[in-house]
Amino acid sequence: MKTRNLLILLQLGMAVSQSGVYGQDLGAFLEDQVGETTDYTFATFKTTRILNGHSVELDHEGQMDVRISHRFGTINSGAYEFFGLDQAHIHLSFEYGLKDWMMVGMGRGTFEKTVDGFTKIKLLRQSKGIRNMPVSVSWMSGMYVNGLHWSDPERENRFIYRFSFAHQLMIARKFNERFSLQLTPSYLHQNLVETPGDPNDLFSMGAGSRIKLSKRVSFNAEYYYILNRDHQNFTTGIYNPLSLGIDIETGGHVFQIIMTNSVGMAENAFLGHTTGRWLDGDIHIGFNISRVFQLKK
Amino acid sequence: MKSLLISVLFVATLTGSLWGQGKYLTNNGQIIFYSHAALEDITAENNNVAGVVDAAAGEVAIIVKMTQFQFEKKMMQEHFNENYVESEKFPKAVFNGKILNNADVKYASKGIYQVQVEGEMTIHGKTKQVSTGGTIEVDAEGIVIRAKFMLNPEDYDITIPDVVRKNIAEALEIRVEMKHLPI
Repeated sequence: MKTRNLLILLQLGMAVSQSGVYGQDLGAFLEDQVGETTDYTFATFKTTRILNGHSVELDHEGQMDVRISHRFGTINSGAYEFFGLDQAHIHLSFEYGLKDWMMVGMGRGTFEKTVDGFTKIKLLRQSKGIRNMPVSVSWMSGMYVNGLHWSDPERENRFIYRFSFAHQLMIARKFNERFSLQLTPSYLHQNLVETPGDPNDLFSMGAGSRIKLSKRVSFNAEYYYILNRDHQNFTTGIYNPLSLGIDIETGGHVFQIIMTNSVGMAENAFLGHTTGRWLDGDIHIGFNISRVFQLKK
Repeated sequence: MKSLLISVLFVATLTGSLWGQGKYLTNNGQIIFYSHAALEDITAENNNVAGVVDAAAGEVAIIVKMTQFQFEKKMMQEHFNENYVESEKFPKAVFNGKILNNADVKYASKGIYQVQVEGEMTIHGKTKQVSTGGTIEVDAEGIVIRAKFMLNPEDYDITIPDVVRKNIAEALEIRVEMKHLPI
């Protein structure tokens, strides 16, 4: 009985002596009382593109993104072409966030003198807390209009032949502060292809990632595996586009330096017309510049 | 052995219930910060701040979830979380403090009382000793604590690059308004 009383006293004494100088105990008490919130993941990728292809990110409502992208010729073109720097392929676009979950864009690229337009919507946002969602999911649909003179003017050439369409589903997860991964099942339909044997529909599976190197710099990689590239009647040899790059972010600007085997920057180009091979040195150096303006608050 | 266990449990519940008295709690306190710089004014608001006031001990604790700050420009919010406070590494800011003149506050009678608070603030993983003046308003439902003070991000190793020096003020004005209810 005596020992028990002693123990109680001891316990009481300990409980009292635990309170720290600035009430750390109260802090610990509050820690248990903190209400749950939904914390949405931010910056899975720093811009709407991983490198060539779309990322799961959208421009926020009222944001205009002016993008200037540029690819030089191939490195293996030698000193005469200054290792590709004598040639330049560009893609310019204006993109705008209509809602936080919907954006549109229009662009013009050197490749096949293409005018393009796309809509991208956000379907799911990765979050934890009250609402737990392991991935972010977005959808992109694009349309591409070839602006070249007809290769064969004698043929019956309808305007509709100039069109291509791409649809992509972006499924991404930011695993931690440093590492994000995205899978991008894609479909490209071209109304007109080189030869009757070439497939009009190309299916591919893309994968992209971001590895953060410092607060404002990350390493990005992107690869698309074209599932029916070995179609038996395919006469135009195309390869799987692989791009590696560095993302540099300076409040409002995102600058990407890229090495890729695709000269085209829109989906119709890199999914359907990547003719370069990394192993042969058909590597294009390039960059993307994104400048965001807040037009509406 | 059994009696020892019972006594430990008994003491634990007893002290627990004792501490429960005279405490006021909130989970939706408000903290707003303002940055007035040459080129731009920035405001962010957090309405999910947790706080507790222990009236008997004169102690205050506050926990702020950094990702709950809402900015007008969503891109700024992303930069705030990603590049400045690094919310994934340091999700919470914490304040543990003491009301120096707690004896002056009559928690039982309505009124507004001037208080001086001193304590430790942890932001971005860095802890600093701070003190500020404020008020405690006792009303019919509970107590409202209000405070306004300046905070220098550099003190918490939050570096602001020179490029945006004209967009972000060197010292931010912090306004706290938290209505606590008794528990």
